[in-house]
Amino acid sequence: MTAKFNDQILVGRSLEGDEEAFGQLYDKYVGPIYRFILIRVSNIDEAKDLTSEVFLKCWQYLANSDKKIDDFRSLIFRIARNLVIDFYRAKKDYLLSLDEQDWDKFADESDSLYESVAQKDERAQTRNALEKIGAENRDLILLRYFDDLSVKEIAALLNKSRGAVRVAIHRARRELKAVLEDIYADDEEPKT
Amino acid sequence: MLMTKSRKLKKNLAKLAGAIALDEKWRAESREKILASVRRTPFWREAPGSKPRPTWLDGFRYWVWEGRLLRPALAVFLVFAVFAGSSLWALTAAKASLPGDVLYPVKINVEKAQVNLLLSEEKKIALEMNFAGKRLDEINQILSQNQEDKESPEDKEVQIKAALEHFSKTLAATQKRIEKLESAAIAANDKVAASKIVNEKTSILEQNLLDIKDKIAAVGNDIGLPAGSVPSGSVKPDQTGGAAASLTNIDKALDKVDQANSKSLAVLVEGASQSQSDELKQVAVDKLQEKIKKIERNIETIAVRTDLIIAGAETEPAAAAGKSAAKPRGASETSTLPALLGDDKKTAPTAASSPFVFAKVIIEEVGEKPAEAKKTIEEAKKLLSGSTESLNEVLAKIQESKAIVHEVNETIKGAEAAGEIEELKSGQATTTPENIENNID
Repeated sequence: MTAKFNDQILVGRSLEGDEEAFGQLYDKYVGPIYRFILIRVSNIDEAKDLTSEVFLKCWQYLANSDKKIDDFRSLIFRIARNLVIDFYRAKKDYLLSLDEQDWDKFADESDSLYESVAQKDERAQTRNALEKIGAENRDLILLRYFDDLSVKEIAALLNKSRGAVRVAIHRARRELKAVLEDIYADDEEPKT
Repeated sequence: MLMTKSRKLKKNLAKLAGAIALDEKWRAESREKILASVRRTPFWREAPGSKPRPTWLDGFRYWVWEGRLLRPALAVFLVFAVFAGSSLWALTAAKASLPGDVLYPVKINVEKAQVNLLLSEEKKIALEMNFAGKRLDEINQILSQNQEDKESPEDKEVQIKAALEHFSKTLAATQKRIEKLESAAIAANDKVAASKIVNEKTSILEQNLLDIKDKIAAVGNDIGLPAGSVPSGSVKPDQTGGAAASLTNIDKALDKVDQANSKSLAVLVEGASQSQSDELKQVAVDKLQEKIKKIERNIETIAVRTDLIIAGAETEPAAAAGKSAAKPRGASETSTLPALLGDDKKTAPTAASSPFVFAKVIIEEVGEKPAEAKKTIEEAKKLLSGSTESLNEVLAKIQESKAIVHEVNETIKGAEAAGEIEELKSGQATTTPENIENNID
């Protein structure tokens, strides 16, 4: 049975009052949702609060919606994204936090104490490249390669067609490539 | 290089995502809080209650009972139904097809598949016989079609030829099965049952083929069979081209039927002889009697034919001789009959020879044969009336008598093909039994 079908069974059981079924959904998605939010809000406490809120909103949606839930994963990411947008609306700014210290802080949550200098450099390069591309394209790159969502899931999340998302990701990659060209060109320029 | 960097960036993003770990304490607390919040919602309170973990029965109810799997299954079923429907249409269309139609090979292959799918040799044989009958039905359909429907006059001849070829192939396959049964270590009643089917069916097929032959011989040229060269054999002089070719093909098919019939009778008699069952022996006796009656009819026919020749040879009008002389014959033409008879003492008629010489040669060769065949068949009848212990001997006598009849027929047919009998007939006008009767009187 696929993950999608399993989710459907768990959703069905949750709606019938099976507490453990919803607990299993939580266990499965809390990590990805937390990361999705954290990379966008750059604040661990905010990310934790928003993650909890995502699950509560999700439950409200399941309880109140007459619609059949075909894809729980897409639903929960859509709720998370909307909450992140609401979060930035309140701040009147929806930008990815690209503060170097924030990124190191995320990693510090794990075993980053043992990280090499090279690894930190790599992360800095990643952050640097993402900083230079447009917000929309950055969002797409993150959704695809950080959140590891499929084109289909991104399409559901952004309420766009799969074709449009595929084209948008292609353009985002092209922009990223151009940015990387510039970055490496700068690096290779002889210092006078 | 740039591509590598781009790929590395994507890899780094994935790595970063993996590096972000959850605070386990917060995760557990958050879980409890969320579930507590969920429990407080009115929807939860109205829910049927706490349920055990999902079981396979829940999965069944969710996917099958509530129709979630049934919907895609229904879609698959509909696609299959459309596919099967179109295939069924093609098969139905193929079933009604005739030789030359696009779907005819489909029909033949489906029939072959049907035979191959059966396990019982007896059922395979019965089905093959059924399909052989269908080939003859097709020929009847072809003959009853309006010529205007056909694109070219050659169509009917080609169609009949194709149907007869498949007919002969089917009979050859059946005969092989019978031959295999003969040597197979199976129960005598199985052998008898299978060979009885072939024996009975081939008798029907033979009659049907003769009816078709009569139809083509009577009106072949009028039903769209094209004109052309006259082939040899039992073809009437007024039959030409396509009709004549079709008649020749039917003769070949009749030979196949006869072979299968004879083989089946031999296997049937063999099986009955091995068996202690009176019932099986009686089946063999009945079939042998049928065969004897058929041979007797054939003996009567050859007797009439030889009588015709004898009667013609006894009358020698000058007009006939004159007619013969009026049409000189080359050495190669005149040598045909003696060569056929294989008798050096019988000098080959010269260009000036009368056709009555040919008739006399034929009479010398086959004149006594009908009586000989009759005597042999009488011996068979006598043996058969005595007991059921000598079934093989009866069969041997029948085969001997049949061989005599065949020899006479071949001799006369050869003479007719070479034109000797034809000339005699045209000179004397003694071709009908009525004329023979008159001449004898």
